[in-house]
Amino acid sequence: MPDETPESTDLTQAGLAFFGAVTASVTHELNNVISIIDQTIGLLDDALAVAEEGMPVRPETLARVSQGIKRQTVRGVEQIKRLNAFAHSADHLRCEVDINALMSNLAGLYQRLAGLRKLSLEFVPSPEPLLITTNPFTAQQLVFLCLSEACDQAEKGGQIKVTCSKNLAGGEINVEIAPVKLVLKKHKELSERLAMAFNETLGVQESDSGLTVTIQHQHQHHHQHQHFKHSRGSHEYASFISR
Amino acid sequence: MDGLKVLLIDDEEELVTTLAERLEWRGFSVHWATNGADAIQKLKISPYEIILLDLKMPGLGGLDLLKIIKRDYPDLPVIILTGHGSLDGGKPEVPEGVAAYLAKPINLDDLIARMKEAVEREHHA
Repeated sequence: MPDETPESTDLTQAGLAFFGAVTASVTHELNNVISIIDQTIGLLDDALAVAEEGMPVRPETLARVSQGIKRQTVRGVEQIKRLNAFAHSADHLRCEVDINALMSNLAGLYQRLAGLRKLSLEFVPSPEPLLITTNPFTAQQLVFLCLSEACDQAEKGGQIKVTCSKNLAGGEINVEIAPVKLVLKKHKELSERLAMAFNETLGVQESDSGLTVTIQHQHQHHHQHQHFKHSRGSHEYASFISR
Repeated sequence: MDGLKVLLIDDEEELVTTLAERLEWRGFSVHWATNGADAIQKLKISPYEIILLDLKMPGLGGLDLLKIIKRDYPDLPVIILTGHGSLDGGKPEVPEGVAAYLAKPINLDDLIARMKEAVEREHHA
């Protein structure tokens, strides 16, 4: 194991902080899901207690309890799938990744954080497939930093737009908050250090439309890959494909 | 404690309506709000005897709303309901002016006991 330098320790800590922020947000939402299910079942218990005294449980109450629990179960499962996909994005330092799926998942995870700032978040995938060999965790971390800047700089009630597109070197993810021009402020230094750590194959640039995370194809070595796919119903929810 | 007037504030509407209904079955008079601005409006219109407040809400967050409540209604007891294990990521600290702090999912009997304690403490103050 190479010795850790202060620089690498800082980057490790930044990565952990990113992982923690996402996990904290999702677990907060899951706690709300469980709280609602808990109180809904409590409502049923209350109705059953009254039924024991002679007042029957109304079908409407049963329907409401059933529908409420189903709704929250769907919500909870979606969050768990997203978090699981995010967690697995740290499995490999380098692998071929479906950037559209990766960033769609991240955008889904970020919805709650944007909502806390009264912002909406729109995700636009690239029209063509966007498969790039890169570090999926750090690619997301850079986009997350841009989203954090967007939350700080956007006007109240505004919209964050995340757009993926292909370019000759690989791909890019643009984060914008029209009409405000998004710039790197709080996370400028960290984004530069991450870019350096990855020999500029990952980086963030300021542009007229906002902040752009660029992802260049990394040289692919021969090593064991794994196929990782998860889906919800008939929809391809997210897939990270490594060959 | 019959008819104790409660204002319940949480951005999760399904949680708020279900909890409100369960409290009403137990004799409380409950109004609810899903955001800080709505809560402030309700406070201006109706007198309440206790507030149940979620910390993490969009827009005007729970801590900011708590400051406004303590400034404008200093004698109104507030119980914090939160999904966070603690307020600052460390040991749970009850903010100044808060009657009690309960972590979700809430145990209803526990909540009612804390509500009664808070209101009785205020009456004797």
